Amino acid sequence: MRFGRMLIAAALATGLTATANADPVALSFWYPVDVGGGLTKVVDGLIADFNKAHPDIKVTAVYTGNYDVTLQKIQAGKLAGALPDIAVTEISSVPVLAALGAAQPLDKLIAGSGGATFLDKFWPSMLLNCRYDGKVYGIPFQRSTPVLYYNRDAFSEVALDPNRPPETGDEMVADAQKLTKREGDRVTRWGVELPLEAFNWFYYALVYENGGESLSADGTHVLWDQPKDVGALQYWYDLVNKYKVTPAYTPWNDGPQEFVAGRAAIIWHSTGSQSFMRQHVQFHWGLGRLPKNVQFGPPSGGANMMLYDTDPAKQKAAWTLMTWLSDAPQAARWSAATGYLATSMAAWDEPEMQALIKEHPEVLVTKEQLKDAKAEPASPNYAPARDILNGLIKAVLANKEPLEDGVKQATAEANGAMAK
Amino acid sequence: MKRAVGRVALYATVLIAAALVAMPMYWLLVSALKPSTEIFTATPRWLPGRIEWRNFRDAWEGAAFGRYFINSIGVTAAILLLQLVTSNLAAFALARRRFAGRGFVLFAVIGALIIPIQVTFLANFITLQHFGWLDSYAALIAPFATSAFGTFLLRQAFLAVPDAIEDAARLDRCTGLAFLWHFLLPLSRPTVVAFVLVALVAHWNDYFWPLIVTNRDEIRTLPIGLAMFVSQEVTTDWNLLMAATLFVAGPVLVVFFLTQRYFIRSHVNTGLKR
Amino acid sequence: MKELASTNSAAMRVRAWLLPYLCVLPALGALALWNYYPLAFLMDLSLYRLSASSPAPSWIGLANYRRLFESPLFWQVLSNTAIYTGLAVPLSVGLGLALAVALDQRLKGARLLRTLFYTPVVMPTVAGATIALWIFNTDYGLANYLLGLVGLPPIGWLTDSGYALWTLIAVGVWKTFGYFMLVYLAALQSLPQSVLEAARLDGARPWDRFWSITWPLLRPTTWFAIVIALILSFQAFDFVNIMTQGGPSNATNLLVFYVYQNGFQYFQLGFAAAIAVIMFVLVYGLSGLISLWYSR
Repeated sequence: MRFGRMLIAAALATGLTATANADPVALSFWYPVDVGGGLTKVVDGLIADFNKAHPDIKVTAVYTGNYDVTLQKIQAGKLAGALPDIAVTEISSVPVLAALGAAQPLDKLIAGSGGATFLDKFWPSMLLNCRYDGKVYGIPFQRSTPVLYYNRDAFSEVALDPNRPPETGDEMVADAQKLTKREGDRVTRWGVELPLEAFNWFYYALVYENGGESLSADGTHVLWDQPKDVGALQYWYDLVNKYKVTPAYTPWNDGPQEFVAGRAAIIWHSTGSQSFMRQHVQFHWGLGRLPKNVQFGPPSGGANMMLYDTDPAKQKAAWTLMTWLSDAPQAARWSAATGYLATSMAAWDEPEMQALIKEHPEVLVTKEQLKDAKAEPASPNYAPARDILNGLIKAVLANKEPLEDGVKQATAEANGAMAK
Repeated sequence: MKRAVGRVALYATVLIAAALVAMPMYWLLVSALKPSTEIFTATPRWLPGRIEWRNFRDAWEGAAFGRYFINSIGVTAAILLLQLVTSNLAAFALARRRFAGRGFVLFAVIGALIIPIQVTFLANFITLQHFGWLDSYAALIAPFATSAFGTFLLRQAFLAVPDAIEDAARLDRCTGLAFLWHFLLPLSRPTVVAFVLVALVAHWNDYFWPLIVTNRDEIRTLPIGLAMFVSQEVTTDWNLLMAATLFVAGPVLVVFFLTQRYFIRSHVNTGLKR
Repeated sequence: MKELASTNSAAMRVRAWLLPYLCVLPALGALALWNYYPLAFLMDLSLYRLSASSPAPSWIGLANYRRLFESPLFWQVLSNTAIYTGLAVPLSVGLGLALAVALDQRLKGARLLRTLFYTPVVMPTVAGATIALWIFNTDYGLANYLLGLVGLPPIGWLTDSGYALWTLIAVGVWKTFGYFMLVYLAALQSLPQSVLEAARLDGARPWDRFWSITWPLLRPTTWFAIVIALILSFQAFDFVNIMTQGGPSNATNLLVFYVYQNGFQYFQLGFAAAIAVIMFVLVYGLSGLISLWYSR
């Protein structure tokens, strides 16, 4: 009996040492940096803590440029057989990487972690950009939505309530008309600016606010010629050409600068720009939700984590990392450090986030928006359509193309490009 | 009169060019010294309100510049060495020797000049993976083992050396590779230096290739550190980006400044009066 | 080299015959592996359909090429590239030559000026592009500020499709002219002094001396510079990528960017490969033509 127990003890002891001596599973975690320096340190810190807490896994964090170059690296990796274990990529790349067969579906792993209960911890709006072909491919990691920044002092100046940013599209027009200042025919302050970038975020925002969709559910054709979409573009056109409260084109990066310089009383921009504002704005400012028309409809932005391993043992280890990173404490830590939105609802109750909210209560506005956020349109062949839309918006707003015809032509062109 | 006009035109060109080049450079320098609050002003501010030396420290700490520096020096030096060896040998053969297939080789060199990296990178990436060289110094160096540009440039220079010199050298029993080493290279020094400077800049500033083929931070090079300061979604920290740019561009400029004497018309004759 | 020069042993003859082949072998081998194999790879790839919606390559023969020639955008890109190259090449080479001639002397400050002119070449593209973006910003860039000082209205340098390509050309010239200044400086250095001395002693004026003596002597260098400038102009990728992404309205979409756009933004690798092959053929053909013209 004692001998038997000794044997068992010995077996257990060797078993334990055997596990302790097994080489840790090596994983690579590719991440882009889209919000300036300093982020690499935060990532390194997170990964170091993970490695300490999980001695059987060793993760190496690899900086991979911006979103574009990260995609290129993954594409090259797919062709050469040099894929990472996990990579963070912009949300509209989910269908592309899934269709290419580079990214792996996560449903089995999710089932093993509690299935629907696991997914429930995330903001439902964030999950909208995580699926393709009925399967889950992405886990939210660094997410954002657009938000409205407004100049409180300017509001007071024109007898508007400085604590009440516009809530509807009509209100925004009315406010902007009061806020726009002119000297002769030169505008010294625009009422509102909607900067434009390659992803056409604010077009989608306007379409959603109108209750419409811009991409068909199966992702094969665009809906820009539908009445609700046309109405959205018409609203933007009117802001520029009828009410003349918005310039025809504001480059994305100029938005915050225009706001800081007092040349725009209201701008729409990423939640990620908050720290820039805090650093540079010299007047009283506030955050508001993007106004609604029929509904509130801020589109989603940012990046998800996706898995590339096919080996089950590696998948398991990678999944441990992915779940750890999306646990409330880590999500809160990442959000507080970067300005991205905390991906799980519980994360907002973590001490870091609570401290942030206490110091900057306007952050709660961004949390409110997550309840109504919508998907960013995405499908395997969407990229050329995105560029066509960009060209269309620029041309219509600048009056280089008539709205109705332009929309018809662009829709046809985009549908053709997506079919290739 | 015509001479004066010609001279004036020439010097006017120089001054205008200098102004057009100096202005952005000045702006870069000044931005590196400004605190970030002074970058985004309604009208351009030519002088910093206060000098923010911190920018350099912040920039240096923003990425592992120390390590990247060492890697950049090592990788660039290795590439230059390989290119000098292979290009000089090939240029020598192309310029000073007749052999069957010479035309074909020249044709191949010119053709290779034309193929840009956006075209070659995918196949080369796959090749490196086959060799198991991804994520190593070999990946950074091997694809640049030779330079079509250098071969071409040096061929031109070697062609210009008169046969009389080679004949004279042969009498002194200096032929073949010894001739290359003792005569051709010294006589073509300006060209060699020009080539080195051009290749140095190209590989020192290469951002895309090192980013694609390396993952480990330990072997990465300077431009990758620089890229970490650029933002797409929110506004870039310009002052830090400019400060970091000075780290990357500075050394090469110093090298250029110091090697200038190889370009000045000196009193070295071309050897004809020996 | 210890043998007497008059010995003509068979071994020496073989060595002499072998030498050039051995000399070109390393360079040729490297070029074959790292430059020509990728070209062949792409030529092969261009005959397939490979994209996000068809991730398994499928043979489609010349369909990518047909699609390319039928695409109006391709012809616009081709036209953009022709304009860009047609202007950037003479401007950057010409400016480089002018400055090399002007600075090819021991002038006080010439050393500093030469370094200054070389700085754009040395500047990492991301920094150069960022500065250019600021200079040409419509609302508060330096260029429009200067225009404002002389009472002119602002121009959408990068946002107006009528101006964007010219702006890009200016930036391209700015980035590369220092290169050619360098090449010409080296060439001027190795010109036979005797001929120029003789001309000066004969009383020929500098302008005439330049055109009748220096310029013809620089012919091989000019040929070389033009070919290099041609190649560089096809590689204006970095600035397009950072500053305009081919816009506005494809006004600055150049061939090399078009390849990248289709390959890595639209994930149409087979199609992009076809564009790359066409690009290579065009540049090679052009360089060949230029070389032929020069060798007459």
